[in-house]
Amino acid sequence: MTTVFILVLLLIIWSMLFYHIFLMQGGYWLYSSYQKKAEKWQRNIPYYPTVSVLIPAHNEEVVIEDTLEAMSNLRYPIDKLQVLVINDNSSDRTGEICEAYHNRFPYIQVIHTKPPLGGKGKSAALNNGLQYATGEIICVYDADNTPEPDAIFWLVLGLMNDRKAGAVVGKFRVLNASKNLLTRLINIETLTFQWLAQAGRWFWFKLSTIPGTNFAIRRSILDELGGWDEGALSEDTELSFRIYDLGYHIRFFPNAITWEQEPETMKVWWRQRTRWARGNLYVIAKFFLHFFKMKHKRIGLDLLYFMFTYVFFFGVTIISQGLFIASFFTNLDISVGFVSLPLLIVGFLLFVIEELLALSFEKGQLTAKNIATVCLMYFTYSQLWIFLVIYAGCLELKRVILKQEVTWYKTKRFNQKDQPGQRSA
Amino acid sequence: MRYNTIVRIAILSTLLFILPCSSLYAGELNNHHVLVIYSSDSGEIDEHMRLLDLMIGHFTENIMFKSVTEVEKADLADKTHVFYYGQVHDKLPATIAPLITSFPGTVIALGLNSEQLGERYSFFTVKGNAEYNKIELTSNEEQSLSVYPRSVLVTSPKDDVEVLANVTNSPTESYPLFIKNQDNYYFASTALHDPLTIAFGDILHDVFQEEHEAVHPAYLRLEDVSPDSDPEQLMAIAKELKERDIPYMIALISVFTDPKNNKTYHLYDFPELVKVLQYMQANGASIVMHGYTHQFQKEAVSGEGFEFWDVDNDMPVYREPGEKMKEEKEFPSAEAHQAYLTNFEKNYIQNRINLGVQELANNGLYPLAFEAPHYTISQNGYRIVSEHFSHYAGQVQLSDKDWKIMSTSPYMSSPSFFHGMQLLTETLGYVIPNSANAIDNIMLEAEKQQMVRDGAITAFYHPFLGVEQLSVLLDELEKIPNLDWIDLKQSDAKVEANNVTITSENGVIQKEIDYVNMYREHPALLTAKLKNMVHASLWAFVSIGVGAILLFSFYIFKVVHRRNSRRGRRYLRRVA
Repeated sequence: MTTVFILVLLLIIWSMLFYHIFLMQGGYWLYSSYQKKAEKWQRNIPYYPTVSVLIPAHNEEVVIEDTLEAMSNLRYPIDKLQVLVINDNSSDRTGEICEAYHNRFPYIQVIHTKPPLGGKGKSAALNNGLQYATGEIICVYDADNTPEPDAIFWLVLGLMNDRKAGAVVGKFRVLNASKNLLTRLINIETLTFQWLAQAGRWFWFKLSTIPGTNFAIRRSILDELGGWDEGALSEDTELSFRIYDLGYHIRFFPNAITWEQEPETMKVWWRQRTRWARGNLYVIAKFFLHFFKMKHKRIGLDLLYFMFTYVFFFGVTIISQGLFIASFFTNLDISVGFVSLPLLIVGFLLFVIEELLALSFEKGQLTAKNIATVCLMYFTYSQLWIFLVIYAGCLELKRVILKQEVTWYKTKRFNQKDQPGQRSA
Repeated sequence: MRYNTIVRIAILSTLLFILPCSSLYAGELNNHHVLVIYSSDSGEIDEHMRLLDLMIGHFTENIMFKSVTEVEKADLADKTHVFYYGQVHDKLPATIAPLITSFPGTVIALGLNSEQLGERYSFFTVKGNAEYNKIELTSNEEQSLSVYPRSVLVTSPKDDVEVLANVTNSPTESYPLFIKNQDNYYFASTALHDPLTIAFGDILHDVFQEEHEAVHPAYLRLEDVSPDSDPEQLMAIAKELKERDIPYMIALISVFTDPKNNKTYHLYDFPELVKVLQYMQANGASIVMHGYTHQFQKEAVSGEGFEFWDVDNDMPVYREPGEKMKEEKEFPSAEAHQAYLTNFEKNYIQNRINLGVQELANNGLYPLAFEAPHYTISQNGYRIVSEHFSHYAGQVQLSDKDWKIMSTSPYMSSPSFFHGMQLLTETLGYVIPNSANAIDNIMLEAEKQQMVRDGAITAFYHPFLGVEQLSVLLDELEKIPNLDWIDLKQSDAKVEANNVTITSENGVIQKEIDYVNMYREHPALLTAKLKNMVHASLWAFVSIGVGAILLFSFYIFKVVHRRNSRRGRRYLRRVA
């Protein structure tokens, strides 16, 4: 019986691995073709629509200057651009810095919010900002983001050339990738996520998920949807699902690049990722319960993917690893046979090669150091996710049982002044 | 036009030549109707009659047995041949002689009491007994059969009587064994036994005027293959047989009990073995269901135990393993007791057949014949087996009183006590482990079999002996002229069990399996199926994974190469 159980687990795990192979293949094909599409679109700009960039900021004094500096460098017609910083109940110098920038660059505007309206989290801050936004197109950046000068241009170009796109999502790179082992790991993880999950899903299914930053969405859609869901911890994923349900798709367009800061300590990483995992579990639960009410069932594919990732995949990984450990202490009568060894090796190599392929798409990332990090990642960083998902699952369960309110944990920012030359990558 | 005609004639001739060869040489396409009148010790059909049944079963399935006291004129009405078997001294009813005399067809008398058969049997007289140790067919005087000293009825035939076979004791002492006067035959022995059956069997062709072709149907059965079998050894054997283009049979047991830990293993626990067996099935092998567990008592080793015979009590299976048999006093009458026993045995056998067939079919292995472990099964058992199988392989237990009373026919047969089943007779025995003369002994038996014009050359082999000995045996067997390897799949075999029907025709196996019902009745089979499917797909996973690794490696190389070329071009432009 244990053998049957193990075989079923293997089947689920490998279904996921095959899906990843499939997505990576799509990612490769998108990588091979997106520049041509960008060149074609560049020749077709009927007009420049008005754009409002929303930046929710809560105690962001460490990073907001760089962000606004990047905003001041955006290559987009100034008269069509509005940058709105929502200084959400900050108690530090965030507001001051923003005002200083407003004085230098009038299109950079600041909204200061205080309780009871302010301080209720990112979604609420965005909804507040939306009230003041004048653009036909709304772009969103996290306060630790420094978009490249053309980022807005590409995002807008995507929406202008793709009528069916409700939103366009750009690519993000890690600003502090070489800070320490953790940031190197996160850098590899984010690159793979974008080329495998985002690019792959976009290529095959015209699906991708709004990552919370560096994306543009039609104002009309936000109005129709009534803005962001303030109950969602992972408001970006939640919004993605609702955009799909309106019949739009979300385009992944890697030309639009932003740089963002990633956690440099395990504690910060743990809290940030717990929020993501909880948010995604919330979305799974919310849309799974309403799936049959949804008009556009294609999103079911993504929902299923999320289900597999957060419920089955982690579930079976936990169980199979548990059995693996248990087999050292007791005879579990598992007779999967010799094939288990090649399966283990191929599983590991698949992980490594997919990461390396994603790295190869980015200039200067396929280095010996990164290759070694990838090998280490499989046994360390990837395993950490298991515990994280268990933890997040427990917290979500507790929240539902005790009917707790969601609280927004803001990711701790780090001063990046000591990291020169990061953008040369 | 002429060319087309030639081609058509050639095809037609080939078909005509091939078609008769595909039959299993048993009594087919004939109108023989046989009545056997017997005088036996008990007045019932016993092992002697059943052996005669086996012999006649080669020529016809229409065989009726009547005790000499029961036979009536009407019984002879539609018959073409009447046998009288005087197994014991008997005072025949006065009606017998007139019945025999007035019978228009062929009469064959065996053994005692021939003097009471009337006018037709006045062509010889019997004068006591004599010993013999050699048998000779007058049609083939060069060959003779040596036997342990046996007794023959000494006859003195009249001059115009034709002697078809003789027995001798020394160069000077010769006695007629089988004699003929017009369409009346007499066989001067009270018992049919090996190798008398050889001479008797061959002459029966003349009696029935069936000039069967002198082609020897042959088969090799790989015996006692069970979950315990070594797949590598089996594969080596399968390849050897495939290379020689020899079809063969596998006597397969689904369940194996390990005597060391008393644990039970099923075929589905060994997917590699199942894969090899499937390969064998696709490359010349036909599966013979050799019981379900090949054991009765749980503590017995599978492959060694008796499954359909209670050997401790030397009787059919009338009790659950490990339990005591119900006694007659527990029932209101002897009839009720007997009915209970018969019914018990029926349920027991049917259950095991159903389990076995379903389990094999679930593994993609489709049995086409049955072979009772150690050939032991009751007469009632044959009837039950015949409800499920069209073909039976091996030797035949002839009595319900003693399992050791067992024999076989020199050729394929369909005796009446098989209720329509075809016997794939087994004649040569097997390669006895650690016996230096094992193969020589088999070949001596094969030589005897060749005295029957279509005598079967059939043996079994234990795969654990390895491929080397098998090669030697096959080398020897293949030297036999006019050998025709039987492919069971070419015959019209049919197997019916709960939820499973298997048929074969012209080498193709057809199966109808009601999986839903089968899995509902036996969820373990579904689990096993799923397990094996997943198991099989694990290697496919590895292959796909390796393919993806290679492909993505190539992509990386391509991406890096393209980037380096671009950088090179930029550098050159700058330098220029």
